[in-house]
Amino acid sequence: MKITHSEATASGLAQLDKLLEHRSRLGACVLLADVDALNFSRLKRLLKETDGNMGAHLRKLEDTGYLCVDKRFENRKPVSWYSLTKKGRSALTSHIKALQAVIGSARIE
Amino acid sequence: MHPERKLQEDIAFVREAVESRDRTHYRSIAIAVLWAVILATGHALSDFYPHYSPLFWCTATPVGYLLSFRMAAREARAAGVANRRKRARFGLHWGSLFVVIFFVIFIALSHRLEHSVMSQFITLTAGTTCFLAGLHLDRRLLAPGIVTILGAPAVDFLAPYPWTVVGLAIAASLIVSATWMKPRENNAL
Repeated sequence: MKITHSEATASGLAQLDKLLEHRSRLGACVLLADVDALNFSRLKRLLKETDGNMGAHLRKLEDTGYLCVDKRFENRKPVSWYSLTKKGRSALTSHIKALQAVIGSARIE
Repeated sequence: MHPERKLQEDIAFVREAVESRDRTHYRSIAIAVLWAVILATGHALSDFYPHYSPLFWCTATPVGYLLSFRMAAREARAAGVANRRKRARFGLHWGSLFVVIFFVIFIALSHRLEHSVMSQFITLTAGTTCFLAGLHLDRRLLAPGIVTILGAPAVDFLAPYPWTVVGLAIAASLIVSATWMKPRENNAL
Protein backbone atom coordinates (compact mmCIF):
# COMPACT_ATOMS: atom_id res chain seq x y z
CA MET A 1 0.00 0.00 0.00
CA LYS A 2 1.43 3.38 -1.00
CA ILE A 3 1.57 6.05 1.72
CA THR A 4 0.70 9.49 0.38
CA HIS A 5 2.46 12.71 1.35
CA SER A 6 -0.44 13.95 3.45
CA GLU A 7 -0.75 10.58 5.24
CA ALA A 8 2.94 10.61 6.11
CA THR A 9 2.65 14.19 7.37
CA ALA A 10 -0.45 13.37 9.39
CA SER A 11 1.25 10.31 10.91
CA GLY A 12 4.32 12.40 11.85
CA LEU A 13 2.16 15.18 13.26
CA ALA A 14 0.22 12.67 15.39
CA GLN A 15 3.47 11.47 16.95
CA LEU A 16 4.58 14.95 17.98
CA ASP A 17 4.66 15.66 21.71
CA LYS A 18 2.00 18.31 22.35
CA LEU A 19 4.04 19.86 25.13
CA LEU A 20 7.08 20.31 22.89
CA GLU A 21 5.12 21.85 20.03
CA HIS A 22 5.72 25.31 21.46
CA ARG A 23 9.07 26.62 20.22
CA SER A 24 10.17 27.96 23.61
CA ARG A 25 9.48 24.66 25.40
CA LEU A 26 11.21 22.75 22.60
CA GLY A 27 14.09 25.24 22.70
CA ALA A 28 14.48 24.88 26.48
CA CYS A 29 14.72 21.08 26.19
CA VAL A 30 17.17 21.24 23.26
CA LEU A 31 19.35 23.81 25.05
CA LEU A 32 19.42 21.63 28.16
CA ALA A 33 20.12 18.42 26.25
CA ASP A 34 23.89 18.85 26.10
CA VAL A 35 24.68 20.79 29.27
CA ASP A 36 24.23 19.81 32.91
CA ALA A 37 22.07 22.84 33.74
CA LEU A 38 21.15 26.37 32.70
CA ASN A 39 19.72 29.01 34.98
CA PHE A 40 16.41 30.79 34.45
CA SER A 41 17.82 34.09 33.20
CA ARG A 42 20.12 32.39 30.69
CA LEU A 43 17.23 30.34 29.26
CA LYS A 44 15.03 33.42 29.15
CA ARG A 45 17.65 35.44 27.25
CA LEU A 46 18.48 32.66 24.78
CA LEU A 47 14.82 32.03 24.00
CA LYS A 48 13.92 35.74 23.92
CA GLU A 49 11.05 35.31 26.36
CA THR A 50 9.64 37.48 29.12
CA ASP A 51 9.96 36.45 32.78
CA GLY A 52 6.29 35.48 32.99
CA ASN A 53 6.15 33.44 29.79
CA MET A 54 9.41 31.66 30.45
CA GLY A 55 8.30 30.81 33.98
CA ALA A 56 5.01 29.40 32.69
CA HIS A 57 6.71 27.27 30.00
CA LEU A 58 9.28 25.91 32.42
CA ARG A 59 6.60 25.12 35.02
CA LYS A 60 4.68 23.08 32.45
CA LEU A 61 7.80 21.12 31.57
CA GLU A 62 8.62 20.66 35.24
CA ASP A 63 5.08 19.49 36.10
CA THR A 64 5.25 16.88 33.33
CA GLY A 65 8.57 15.63 34.68
CA TYR A 66 10.64 16.72 31.66
CA LEU A 67 12.74 19.16 33.66
CA CYS A 68 13.93 19.27 37.22
CA VAL A 69 14.74 22.46 39.04
CA ASP A 70 17.31 23.18 41.70
CA LYS A 71 16.59 26.42 43.55
CA ARG A 72 19.52 27.99 45.35
CA PHE A 73 20.68 31.27 46.78
CA GLU A 74 23.71 32.74 45.02
CA ASN A 75 25.05 36.04 46.33
CA ARG A 76 21.85 36.32 48.38
CA LYS A 77 19.68 36.09 45.27
CA PRO A 78 17.42 33.13 44.43
CA VAL A 79 18.61 31.32 41.29
CA SER A 80 16.76 28.44 39.62
CA TRP A 81 18.89 25.91 37.75
CA TYR A 82 17.06 23.69 35.25
CA SER A 83 18.19 20.37 33.87
CA LEU A 84 16.64 17.79 31.57
CA THR A 85 15.37 14.58 33.20
CA LYS A 86 15.58 11.09 31.71
CA LYS A 87 11.89 11.31 30.84
CA GLY A 88 12.45 14.70 29.20
CA ARG A 89 15.39 13.41 27.16
CA SER A 90 13.38 10.44 25.92
CA ALA A 91 10.39 12.69 25.06
CA LEU A 92 12.71 15.07 23.20
CA THR A 93 14.26 12.20 21.21
CA SER A 94 10.82 10.90 20.16
CA HIS A 95 9.64 14.42 19.31
CA ILE A 96 12.69 15.09 17.13
CA LYS A 97 12.16 11.78 15.30
CA ALA A 98 8.55 12.78 14.62
CA LEU A 99 9.70 16.21 13.42
CA GLN A 100 12.16 14.59 11.03
CA ALA A 101 9.36 12.40 9.69
CA VAL A 102 7.10 15.39 9.05
CA ILE A 103 9.84 17.46 7.40
CA GLY A 104 11.04 14.43 5.42
CA SER A 105 7.52 13.87 4.07
CA ALA A 106 7.34 17.54 3.05
CA ARG A 107 10.61 17.19 1.11
CA ILE A 108 9.32 14.14 -0.78
CA GLU A 109 6.51 16.31 -2.07
CA MET B 1 0.19 28.45 8.21
CA HIS B 2 1.19 25.02 6.84
CA PRO B 3 2.24 22.71 9.70
CA GLU B 4 5.53 21.82 7.94
CA ARG B 5 6.31 25.51 7.48
CA LYS B 6 5.61 26.27 11.16
CA LEU B 7 7.80 23.35 12.23
CA GLN B 8 10.66 24.55 10.03
CA GLU B 9 10.40 28.04 11.54
CA ASP B 10 10.40 26.60 15.05
CA ILE B 11 13.47 24.51 14.26
CA ALA B 12 15.23 27.59 12.84
CA PHE B 13 14.39 29.47 16.07
CA VAL B 14 15.77 26.66 18.25
CA ARG B 15 18.89 26.38 16.09
CA GLU B 16 19.51 30.11 16.50
CA ALA B 17 19.18 29.78 20.30
CA VAL B 18 21.66 26.87 20.36
CA GLU B 19 24.12 28.76 18.13
CA SER B 20 23.81 31.80 20.35
CA ARG B 21 24.53 29.65 23.44
CA ASP B 22 27.62 28.12 21.82
CA ARG B 23 28.87 31.35 20.23
CA THR B 24 28.80 33.57 23.29
CA HIS B 25 32.10 34.04 25.09
CA TYR B 26 32.54 35.15 28.64
CA ARG B 27 33.22 38.83 29.02
CA SER B 28 35.87 38.58 31.71
CA ILE B 29 39.51 38.87 30.64
CA ALA B 30 40.80 37.83 34.08
CA ILE B 31 42.19 34.49 32.88
CA ALA B 32 44.01 36.19 29.97
CA VAL B 33 45.52 38.73 32.38
CA LEU B 34 46.59 35.95 34.77
CA TRP B 35 48.43 34.09 31.99
CA ALA B 36 49.86 37.29 30.55
CA VAL B 37 51.50 38.00 33.93
CA ILE B 38 52.76 34.41 34.33
CA LEU B 39 54.16 34.21 30.79
CA ALA B 40 55.76 37.67 30.76
CA THR B 41 57.41 37.03 34.15
CA GLY B 42 58.56 33.51 33.27
CA HIS B 43 60.08 34.52 29.94
CA ALA B 44 61.81 37.57 31.44
CA LEU B 45 63.35 35.35 34.13
CA SER B 46 65.01 33.29 31.37
CA ASP B 47 66.98 36.41 30.35
CA PHE B 48 67.64 38.05 33.71
CA TYR B 49 67.66 35.22 36.31
CA PRO B 50 67.90 31.97 34.31
CA HIS B 51 68.62 29.88 37.42
CA TYR B 52 65.19 30.70 38.86
CA SER B 53 63.39 30.01 35.60
CA PRO B 54 62.78 26.20 36.01
CA LEU B 55 61.53 26.68 39.58
CA PHE B 56 59.19 29.45 38.42
CA TRP B 57 57.70 27.42 35.56
CA CYS B 58 57.30 24.32 37.75
CA THR B 59 55.28 26.24 40.34
CA ALA B 60 53.55 29.04 38.42
CA THR B 61 52.08 26.95 35.59
CA PRO B 62 50.26 24.31 37.74
CA VAL B 63 49.01 27.08 40.04
CA GLY B 64 47.89 29.11 37.00
CA TYR B 65 46.18 26.03 35.57
CA LEU B 66 44.21 25.39 38.76
CA LEU B 67 43.38 29.07 39.23
CA SER B 68 42.16 29.53 35.66
CA PHE B 69 40.09 26.33 35.92
CA ARG B 70 38.40 27.72 39.03
CA MET B 71 37.92 31.17 37.49
CA ALA B 72 36.38 29.68 34.32
CA ALA B 73 33.97 27.56 36.37
CA ARG B 74 32.90 30.63 38.37
CA GLU B 75 32.43 32.70 35.20
CA ALA B 76 30.35 29.96 33.62
CA ARG B 77 28.12 29.68 36.69
CA ALA B 78 27.74 33.47 36.82
CA ALA B 79 26.70 33.29 33.16
CA GLY B 80 24.07 30.68 34.00
CA VAL B 81 25.72 27.57 32.56
CA ALA B 82 26.81 24.38 34.29
CA ASN B 83 28.59 22.10 31.86
CA ARG B 84 30.93 19.43 33.26
CA ARG B 85 31.71 17.96 29.83
CA LYS B 86 32.98 21.29 28.53
CA ARG B 87 35.06 21.79 31.68
CA ALA B 88 36.54 18.31 31.25
CA ARG B 89 37.37 19.05 27.59
CA PHE B 90 39.23 22.25 28.53
CA GLY B 91 40.92 20.50 31.45
CA LEU B 92 42.12 17.60 29.30
CA HIS B 93 43.29 19.90 26.54
CA TRP B 94 45.48 22.02 28.80
CA GLY B 95 46.39 19.10 31.08
CA SER B 96 47.81 17.24 28.07
CA LEU B 97 50.26 20.13 27.60
CA PHE B 98 51.90 19.28 30.94
CA VAL B 99 52.34 15.64 29.88
CA VAL B 100 53.81 16.61 26.50
CA ILE B 101 56.16 19.16 28.07
CA PHE B 102 57.34 16.48 30.52
CA PHE B 103 58.29 14.24 27.58
CA VAL B 104 59.93 17.14 25.69
CA ILE B 105 62.11 17.79 28.75
CA PHE B 106 62.85 14.08 29.12
CA ILE B 107 63.95 13.75 25.46
CA ALA B 108 65.92 17.01 25.57
CA LEU B 109 67.80 15.93 28.71
CA SER B 110 68.48 12.43 27.35
CA HIS B 111 70.04 13.95 24.23
CA ARG B 112 71.80 16.66 26.25
CA LEU B 113 70.26 19.48 24.25
CA GLU B 114 71.09 23.01 25.29
CA HIS B 115 68.57 24.51 27.73
CA SER B 116 67.74 27.32 25.32
CA VAL B 117 66.92 24.79 22.55
CA MET B 118 64.76 22.80 24.98
CA SER B 119 62.95 26.04 25.92
CA GLN B 120 62.32 26.75 22.24
CA PHE B 121 60.76 23.29 21.81
CA ILE B 122 58.61 23.83 24.90
CA THR B 123 57.48 27.22 23.55
CA LEU B 124 56.64 25.63 20.20
CA THR B 125 54.62 22.88 21.92
CA ALA B 126 52.78 25.40 24.11
CA GLY B 127 52.08 27.58 21.04
CA THR B 128 50.65 24.65 19.09
CA THR B 129 48.43 23.67 22.03
CA CYS B 130 47.24 27.27 22.33
CA PHE B 131 46.57 27.53 18.58
CA LEU B 132 44.57 24.27 18.61
CA ALA B 133 42.61 25.57 21.61
CA GLY B 134 41.83 28.62 19.47
CA LEU B 135 40.60 26.40 16.65
CA HIS B 136 38.50 24.02 18.72
CA LEU B 137 37.64 25.63 22.07
CA ASP B 138 37.90 29.41 22.21
CA ARG B 139 38.83 31.53 19.20
CA ARG B 140 40.40 34.17 21.45
CA LEU B 141 43.39 31.83 21.74
CA LEU B 142 44.17 31.79 18.00
CA ALA B 143 46.33 34.93 17.92
CA PRO B 144 48.31 34.13 21.12
CA GLY B 145 48.90 30.63 19.69
CA ILE B 146 50.33 32.05 16.46
CA VAL B 147 52.50 34.57 18.35
CA THR B 148 53.85 31.80 20.61
CA ILE B 149 54.61 29.50 17.66
CA LEU B 150 56.44 32.35 15.89
CA GLY B 151 58.20 33.25 19.14
CA ALA B 152 59.99 29.88 19.33
CA PRO B 153 62.26 30.38 16.28
CA ALA B 154 62.33 34.19 16.72
CA VAL B 155 64.33 33.78 19.95
CA ASP B 156 67.44 33.16 17.82
CA PHE B 157 67.17 36.61 16.25
CA LEU B 158 66.05 38.86 19.10
CA ALA B 159 69.21 39.95 20.94
CA PRO B 160 69.87 41.06 23.65
CA TYR B 161 66.73 39.97 25.60
CA PRO B 162 65.00 37.51 23.30
CA TRP B 163 62.85 35.68 25.88
CA THR B 164 61.64 38.94 27.42
CA VAL B 165 60.54 40.24 24.01
CA VAL B 166 58.77 36.94 23.19
CA GLY B 167 57.10 36.84 26.64
CA LEU B 168 55.85 40.41 26.29
CA ALA B 169 54.57 39.72 22.77
CA ILE B 170 52.63 36.66 23.98
CA ALA B 171 51.26 38.55 26.99
CA ALA B 172 50.16 41.46 24.78
CA SER B 173 48.51 39.13 22.27
CA LEU B 174 46.59 37.37 25.07
CA ILE B 175 45.20 40.62 26.48
CA VAL B 176 44.53 42.27 23.10
CA SER B 177 42.81 39.17 21.77
CA ALA B 178 40.67 38.71 24.92
CA THR B 179 39.69 42.40 24.90
CA TRP B 180 39.15 42.72 21.16
CA MET B 181 37.00 39.62 20.90
CA LYS B 182 34.96 40.52 23.99
CA PRO B 183 31.27 40.35 23.09
CA ARG B 184 29.20 43.51 22.95
CA GLU B 185 27.03 44.29 25.96
CA ASN B 186 23.79 43.06 24.36
CA ASN B 187 25.41 39.75 23.36
CA ALA B 188 27.25 39.25 26.58
CA LEU B 189 26.37 36.65 29.14
